[in-house]
Amino acid sequence: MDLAFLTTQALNALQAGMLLFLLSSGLALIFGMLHVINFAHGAFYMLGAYAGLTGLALTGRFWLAVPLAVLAVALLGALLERTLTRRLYGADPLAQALLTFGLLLVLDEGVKWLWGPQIRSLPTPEALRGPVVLLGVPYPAYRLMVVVVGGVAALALWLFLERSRLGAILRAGVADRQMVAALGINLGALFAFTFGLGAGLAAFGGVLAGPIASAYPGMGVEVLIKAFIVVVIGGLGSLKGAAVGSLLVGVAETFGQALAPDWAMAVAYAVMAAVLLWRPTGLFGAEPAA
Amino acid sequence: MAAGVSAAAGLTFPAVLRAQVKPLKIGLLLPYSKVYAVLGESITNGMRAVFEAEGNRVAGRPVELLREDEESPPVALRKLRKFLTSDHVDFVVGPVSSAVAAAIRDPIHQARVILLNANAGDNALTRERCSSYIFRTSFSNWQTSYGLGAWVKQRVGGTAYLTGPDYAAGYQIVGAFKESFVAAGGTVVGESYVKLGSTDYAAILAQIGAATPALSFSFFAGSDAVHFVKQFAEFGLKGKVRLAGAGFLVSDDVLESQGEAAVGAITTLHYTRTLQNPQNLEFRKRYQALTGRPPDVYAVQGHDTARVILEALRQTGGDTADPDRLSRVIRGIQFDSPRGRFRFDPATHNVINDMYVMEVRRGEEGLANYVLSVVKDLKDPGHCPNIAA
Amino acid sequence: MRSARLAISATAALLLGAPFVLPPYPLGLLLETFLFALFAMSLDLLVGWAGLVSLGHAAAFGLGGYTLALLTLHGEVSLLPALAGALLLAAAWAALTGALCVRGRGVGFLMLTLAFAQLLHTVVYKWTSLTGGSNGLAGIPRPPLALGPVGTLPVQGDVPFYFVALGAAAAGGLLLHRVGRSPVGHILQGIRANEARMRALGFPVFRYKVAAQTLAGALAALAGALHAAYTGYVSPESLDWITSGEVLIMVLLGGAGTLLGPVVGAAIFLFLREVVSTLTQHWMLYLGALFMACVLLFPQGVVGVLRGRRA
Repeated sequence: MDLAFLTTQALNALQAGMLLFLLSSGLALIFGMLHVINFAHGAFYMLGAYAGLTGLALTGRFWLAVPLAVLAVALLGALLERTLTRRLYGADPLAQALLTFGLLLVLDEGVKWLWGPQIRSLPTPEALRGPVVLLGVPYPAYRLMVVVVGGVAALALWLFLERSRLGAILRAGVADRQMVAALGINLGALFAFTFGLGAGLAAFGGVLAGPIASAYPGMGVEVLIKAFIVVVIGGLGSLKGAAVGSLLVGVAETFGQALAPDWAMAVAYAVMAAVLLWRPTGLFGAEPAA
Repeated sequence: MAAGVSAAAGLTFPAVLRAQVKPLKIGLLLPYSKVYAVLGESITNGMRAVFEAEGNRVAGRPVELLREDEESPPVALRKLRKFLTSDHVDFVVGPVSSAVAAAIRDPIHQARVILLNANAGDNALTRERCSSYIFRTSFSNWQTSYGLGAWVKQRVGGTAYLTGPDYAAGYQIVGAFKESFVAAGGTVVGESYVKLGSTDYAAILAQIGAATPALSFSFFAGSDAVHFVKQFAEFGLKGKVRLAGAGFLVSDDVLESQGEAAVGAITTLHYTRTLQNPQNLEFRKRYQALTGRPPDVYAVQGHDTARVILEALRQTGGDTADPDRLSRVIRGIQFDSPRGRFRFDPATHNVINDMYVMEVRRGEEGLANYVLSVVKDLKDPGHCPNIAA
Repeated sequence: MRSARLAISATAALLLGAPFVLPPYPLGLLLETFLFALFAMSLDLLVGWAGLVSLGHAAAFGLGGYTLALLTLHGEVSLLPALAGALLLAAAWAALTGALCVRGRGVGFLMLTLAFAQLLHTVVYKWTSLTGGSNGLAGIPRPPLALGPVGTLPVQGDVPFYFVALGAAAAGGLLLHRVGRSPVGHILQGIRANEARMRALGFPVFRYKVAAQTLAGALAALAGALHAAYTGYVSPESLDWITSGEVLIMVLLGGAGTLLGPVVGAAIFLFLREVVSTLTQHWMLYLGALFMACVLLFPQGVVGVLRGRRA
C-alpha cells in the first residue's frame, strides 16, 4: 500500500464524506427542530441532481444550475412542510415518519414520470474535466472542487448557526421549542424555513454529486440508508454528529470498497449496529427536549 | 367418398383459416428501466426494423410484440407466468440480465415454449442449463472476451488489472479473458469487482493507478460503462494504462456519452457499426430511418432474433403449435446478418460468432470502433446434454 | 355476530371454490395473496400488538425461502420437514437478533432491525456457493406432502398447492388471532401502551418482546418458504429492505392491530401492483399517495394503534 494509493483513497473518502455531510446535516436539522424522521430526505438529494440536470439544460451553465436547483428544492421542502408534515405535529412521531415514507415513494416514482426511467448523466463542467496533480498524485479536479466546496458549505453552516440571529433562533428552537414560541417567534415560519434549509442542503449535495454519480430513479432510496447510518452514528439532531458520522462512513465505504469490496456496505451496517447497541442515541446525540 | 372429403374439407378449412389469422404473439422480456434500459430499447427496435419491413406479418400472421420490463428475477418470473398462462405467447424473447435468465430457465423448459435469448450471456445457459427450447442469438460471456487475451498480450503488454461488476456475467467475462491472457504468458496484477450499477468508481480506479499495469481489462455495459470510462480518464489513467475490455465497454450505445475518454480503447465484440458487409449497410439505413439513431450491437441481436423467427415460420408455414418441430427447424437456420454469417451451434444452441478485435478511433465514420483483426467462427466450448435429437 | 359468521362462511366458500372457476393466472395471484397476507399478519403481531415497528422482517421471510430451497434441492426433503426446518432457522434468527434489537427504542429499534436484515442480505449475496449469490436459487421443486404411514399427498400441482397456501395462511391467521385474544396478547398491548408500567407491574417485558419476534419470524418464514416453493425461485431480493418496506406498507395500509387489516393491505398492494401496473408504469406513485392519505386521514385509525413510547 503506497503513499499515492493512500492519498487518492483519502481524498475519495473526504469527497464521499462531504457529500454525505451535506445530505445528513439537513436530516439532523429537521429531526432536531421538528422531531420528524424525514424518510423523504433522500429524495431531496435526488431531486437536487435532477433539478441540476434541468437547470443545466435551461441555462447551459453548471454554476447557474447549482443555485437554481438548490433554491427550487428548498422551496419545495418548505412547501411540503407547510402542507403535509405540519398536519401531524402533536401526533405520534411514528406517524410523521410514515408520512414521509409515503412521500419518498411518491417522489421516487415521480422523477421517473418527469425525467424518464433511464440514468441521466450530468456532464462535468468543462473547466474541471481531467486531473490535477496533488502531492504527486493525479486526482480529478471536479472531485477536489467538491471537497473544497463541501468544506466551505460546512463552515458557512456553522457560522450561520453560531453567529447569526436567525441561527441563534434555530438553535434555540432545537433546544426548547416552547420557549421560542413563548418569545413570540413565528414557529410556523421557523419550521418551514428549517425544512427548506434541510432540503436545500441535501439538494446541494445531490447536484454536486451529479457529474460523479449521475441522476437516476431509486437514488433517493439508496442514499437515504447512508444518511440514516450517518445520523444514527452521529446522533439524531446533532450537526457535529453528522459531520463526524459522515467522515466515518465516508472512510468506511471508500476503504472498504478498496480492501474488501464485497463487504463495504456490510461494514457500514455493522458499525451502525455497534454504535446503536453501545450508545443508542448516537455519539453526540441527546434526547430532544419535549 | 366425395361427400366425406368435402365434409372433411369443411371441417378443416375454417381451422386452417383460423391458424393463418391467429396473431403471432412474441413476449419481450427486456429491461426498459435502470442500468440496461438502452439495451432493451435497442433490441426491441432491432426486431421492429425486421418486422416492419415485412409489413408486420410473418407467414400471413400479424405480429404482436408484448413488452414487459424484466426489472429483476422475481418480477420477471411473474411477468413470464403472465406471458405463458395468460397471453399464451408463441415465442419469448430476452432477457438482458443473466440473473433473470437463470431464474426463467426452468419454467420455460417445463412449459416447452421457445425462448430466443437475445442477450443474456451466462455461459451456463448453453452449457449445463441448456434446453431444447432455448436458443441464444447474442453471445456467450466466454465468447466476448476469450479472443482478446492472446492478442493484447502480444501487442499491448504483459500485465493487466481486471475489473467487472459483482455478478455472474462479471466473473465469467473477466474469467475468460484471464484464461487466454494467462495462457499466452500474461500476468494478472489485480482483480476487483464492484456492485452492479455503481456510479462511482473512485476506489477501484485508485487501485488500478497504484498497481500500474500495462493494461486494464474491464467488463462494464450500459451506464456502468459510461461512468467507468469517463472516470478512468478523469483520474488521469488514460495516458498511462491502456484501456481494454469486452466490447460492451465502448460499444456504439455508450460511445457518444464517453466521447474523447474512450479513444484508444481495445475491445472484442461480434459487431460494430463500421462493418462494411452489405447486410450491415442496409440495416444501418433502415434502423436510422426507424429510430433516428445508428444501430448498436444490441439492435443487431434483436435484428437477428427477428430473422430467426421469420425463417422458422417460413419453414413451418406459420405453424407454432409444435415446439419440438420448431426447435429442430431453428437449429438449422443460417443467414447473412449485419454481424456476418449467422448460424447456431447445433450442439449447444448458442450462436457461432466472428469476434472482431477493435480500437476506438476518430475515423471515416466518426468516433467508432474500427476492426483491427478477426477471430473467426468462435464456438463456445460448452456441451449441452439436454437437446433432444 | 350472525352477519360476521355469514361473511366468514361466504368468503370461505369463495376461496375454496376459486380453483374450480378461476383461470390459472388469477388463481396464482390469489395464491400469492394468501402468502403475503400471512407475511403481513406476522408483522402485525410486532407492529400492532407489541408496538415494535420493524424494517427487517423480510429477513425471516427470505430465510424461510432459502432454507426450504436448500433442503429440497439437496436433500429431496418433503414438505413438512422442509417447512419445519425453515421455521426453526428463522425463529432462531428472530430470537437472537430480536434480543439485540430491542435494546434500541423507537427509531433505534427500527434502524437495528434494518441493519441486521441488510447484514444478512450481504452475507446471502456473497455466499455464492451456498445461496447462488446474486443469481439466487432456481429450480426449487414443490415437495410432496409426506404423511408418514398414511401415505404421501402429491400437492405439487397448481390447484393442490393453492390449498396448501390457503391452509397455511388460515392456520397462521387463526393462531395469531388466538394469541392476540389471549393474556399474552394483552400483555403485548400493555407493553406497547406503557412499557414502564408493565415493567413496574413485574412483567418480564424483554422476554415477551423476544417471544413476539420469534413467533412473528417463524410465521414469516412459513410464508417465505411456501412462496419459494410456489415460484420455484428465491433470491437476495426476498431479504432486502424494500421487501421489508413493502410488507410494512401492507400492514399500515390495511390497519395495524386488527389482523384483518394486513390481509386487506396485502390484497390491495398486490392488486395495485398487478392491475394498476398494466395501466400505468407509475403504480408506486399511486400507492405512495394512497399510503400518505391513509396516514393523514386516519391518524387514529391507522396509526393510532401504534401508540408507542416516544424515543
